[in-house]
Order: sequence, then C-alpha cells, then structure tokens
Amino acid sequence: MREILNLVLPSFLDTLYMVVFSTLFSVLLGTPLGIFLVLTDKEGLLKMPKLNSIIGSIINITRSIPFIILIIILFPLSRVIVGTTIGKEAAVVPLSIAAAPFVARVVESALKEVNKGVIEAAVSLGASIPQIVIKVLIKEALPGLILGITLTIVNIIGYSAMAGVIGGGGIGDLAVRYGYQRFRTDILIVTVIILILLVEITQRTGNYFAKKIDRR
Amino acid sequence: MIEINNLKKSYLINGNKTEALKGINLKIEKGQVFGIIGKSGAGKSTLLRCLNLLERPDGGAILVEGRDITKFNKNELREYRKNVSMIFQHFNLLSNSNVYKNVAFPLEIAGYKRDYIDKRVRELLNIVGLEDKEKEYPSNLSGGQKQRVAIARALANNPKILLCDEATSALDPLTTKQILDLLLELNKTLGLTIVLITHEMDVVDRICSNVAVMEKGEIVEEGRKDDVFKNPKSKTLRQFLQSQKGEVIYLDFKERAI
Repeated sequence: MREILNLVLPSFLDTLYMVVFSTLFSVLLGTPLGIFLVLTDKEGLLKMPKLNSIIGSIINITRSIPFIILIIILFPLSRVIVGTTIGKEAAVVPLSIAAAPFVARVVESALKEVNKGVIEAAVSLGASIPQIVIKVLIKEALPGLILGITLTIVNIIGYSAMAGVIGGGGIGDLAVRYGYQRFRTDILIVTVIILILLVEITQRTGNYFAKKIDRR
Repeated sequence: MIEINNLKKSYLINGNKTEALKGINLKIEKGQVFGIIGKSGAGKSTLLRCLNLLERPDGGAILVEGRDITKFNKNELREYRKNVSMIFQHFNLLSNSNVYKNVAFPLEIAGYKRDYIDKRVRELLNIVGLEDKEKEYPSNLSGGQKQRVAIARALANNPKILLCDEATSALDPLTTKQILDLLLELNKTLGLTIVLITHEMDVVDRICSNVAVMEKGEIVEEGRKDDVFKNPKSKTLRQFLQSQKGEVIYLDFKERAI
C-alpha cells in the first residue's frame, strides 16, 4: 500500500502540474483567438471574412494532427522554451498548443450564442468593441465559457496521459511503465481510478459553477 | 432637429436587389412624438435603424442638429449614439446582469465614476417606477418591467432623441398603455424627441403628435396626426384606420396572396 502511494503520489502531482499549466496557457492563447473569430465573422462587429477563414483553417489543421504526432513535431519548440524535451515542464508546451485551438472553437461557439439583439443594444448605446467584448459577450456567455473550459480540462487530462508516455511523466506514464510493462495490475487499476475521479470532479465542479452563474 | 434627405438603402437578398428605402425625405422637429407606420416590409424598421446607423444607408443624408451623421467618424458616431438611445421590441437586456447593472451599463461605458453612476441609476429606476427591483434579473421580470428597465437604460446618458423599434409590440394592451404613458410623460417632462415605428394604430393614436405612413420603401403621406387621420390618402392608412374601428377589411386578391 505504502509502495503504491509512493509511486502514485508524485505521478499524480506531475499530472496535476501538466493539467493546471496547460489549461492556463491554452486558455490564454485560445480565448483571444476565439474572440477574434467571432469579431471577424461575416456577421461580426469587424467583418473580415478573409482573415477569419485563414485563422479558421490554421485552427482546423492544428486540430486535425493527432496529438502524439503533434508532440513529436513540437519537441524542438519545447527545447527552445523550457530547455528540454523531457519532463512535465516540457510536456506543457505541446499540451498548451494542442489545446489552444480547441479552446478557440469552444470560446467561439459560446460567444456566438449571445443574443444578437443585446449586442445591437450595446452598439446603439455607444459601446466600443473592447467594451462589448468584456461587458457583453464574455459576461453573457460566461456559463457556456465555463462549460467549455471544463471540457478543455477533461481533454487535457486525457492528453496528459499520452504526453506522459513520451517522457512527460505523470499518471499515464506510471500506468504504462508499471501497470503495462511490469504487469502491476494493482497500479494500473489505481491510476485508472485516479483519472476517472479527476475527470468526474472537474466535470461536476464545472457544471455546478456554470449553473450557479446562469441567470437566463 | 432631424432632417432626412433622399435616403436610400437596398439589400441583396439571394442575389436580388431589394430597395428598402427609395429616397426618403422627412423632417422631425424637437419635442415631437413622431410615429412611422406601415405594414411589415414597408421599410420603417430600416429607416429607424438608419437614424443611429445600426444600418448604413447607401445614399442621402441624415442631418441631426445640422450635422450629417453619415459622415461621422468612429468616435463622433459613438458620442452621437450616447445622445440618441433606442428601445427594442424584445427589450435586449443583459440577461446575466441584474436590473441595476443593466441601467448602469451605458454610464459605465461612458466612463462615469461609481458615485455618480449609483446616484443616477437610482434616479432612473425612480423615473420608471422600479426602485424595488434593482437586484432582480431580467428573467424574473414581466415584459412591461423589462421594457421599463430598457427605458431607464436608454435615458441614462440624457439623450435628446429616443428611437422606439416596435417597443410595445410584445406587450399586452394594459402594459402597452402604461409604457406609452411613461413615454409621453418623458416627452413632456424631459422634452425628449421620440421617433417610433409600429404597426399598432392605438400606439400612434395615443401618443404621436406627427405621423408618416410608409409603403414599399416610400413615405406616402405625412403630417400632424390629427390632419392625416382625418383625411387619410394612402391605402395603408385607410386599411389601418378601418381595422382599428373593427371593420372588416376587404383585401383584393393580390394582397391576400401575400
């Protein structure tokens, strides 16, 4: 029991590290992209359909590359940013970049749900575009945004297990090294249970907050 | 106060050019309650939305206090829009903000200090009779209360002109009457010029001083309400007046087909 704890706890903390920072960076990268997609849409406030379709294509291409291949492609970038391609810090780079386009799409679809009439009312009151983004779009779409970010976290938990296998560490790595390669079924079961609990807790927390702030 | 010269606007619908405004000329004086009536698709909504440039006209000029608003740059337009407010058929309130925050919105974007905003919001809620509702969210309000919040929001920056886009069309008759009384009171006490579009004759009858009738992108008659109603010339107005009296309207075959 003690042995399992000694093995699982550090791995769990590594996974948590990867998930927290990858979520943070992917949201920081993806949210502005999502807002930009909504504004430049042919019915948006800035109407730049050409630029919109270029950005849209780049996002689609990034999203269609299988994650495990994306990690390999991004190895050099990890080396430039964190100085290594191994370890939890190095895994955050491809995880963030893989999740950012997903966040962009999630933000885009949440913001597009905002009632056009409310945006029009804000325009008619003399609001500027940054004011509309912050005080109308994001505020009105907040429940949807929270659910979208929850979905992102759940995805990143899954991706982090994959990143672990190629040297990222964490729960996924532990499951493969001990559970699979050393036939330690007990470790395999513990890691799977931890991942299930992690996803469950994330989803329930997200649902709770999304519901709590929704006044529609 | 508002002078519209040869205003034109057309849309491309499925590759077909549809003229929504075919060279509108209209003068609206300060302090008037000006009603624009017409059937759906007559262009009245497009005309109203040109007055704060939610729609960009293709040609012509809109002079407000002598300045052509179609020539405004971005900043001038934003300043202008703070002087010309609009209320809507479906209220368009921020659903995730309470009544207080909705009314504070135009004040916040105008950059006022918290103390002033607080004082002004209470003043406005008092004017529209919703002092006790400031913490409520729009989903807990009735249609009439929502429109009152929208009116308070529209008045926040002391506009000179209020544009009403079918503002009572989603309300029941009693609530409609109360909202119209409120608008008329604002017109009298604040000297607010009101431009409204509607297809409800009772609305025009109750509060308008002047009226213009639109048919297919053109103004077919216009003047003081009493004069125009006494001697209706256009088909639209004759039909509207008949239906208001509860008379059966006989449409010719072509119109019934629409």
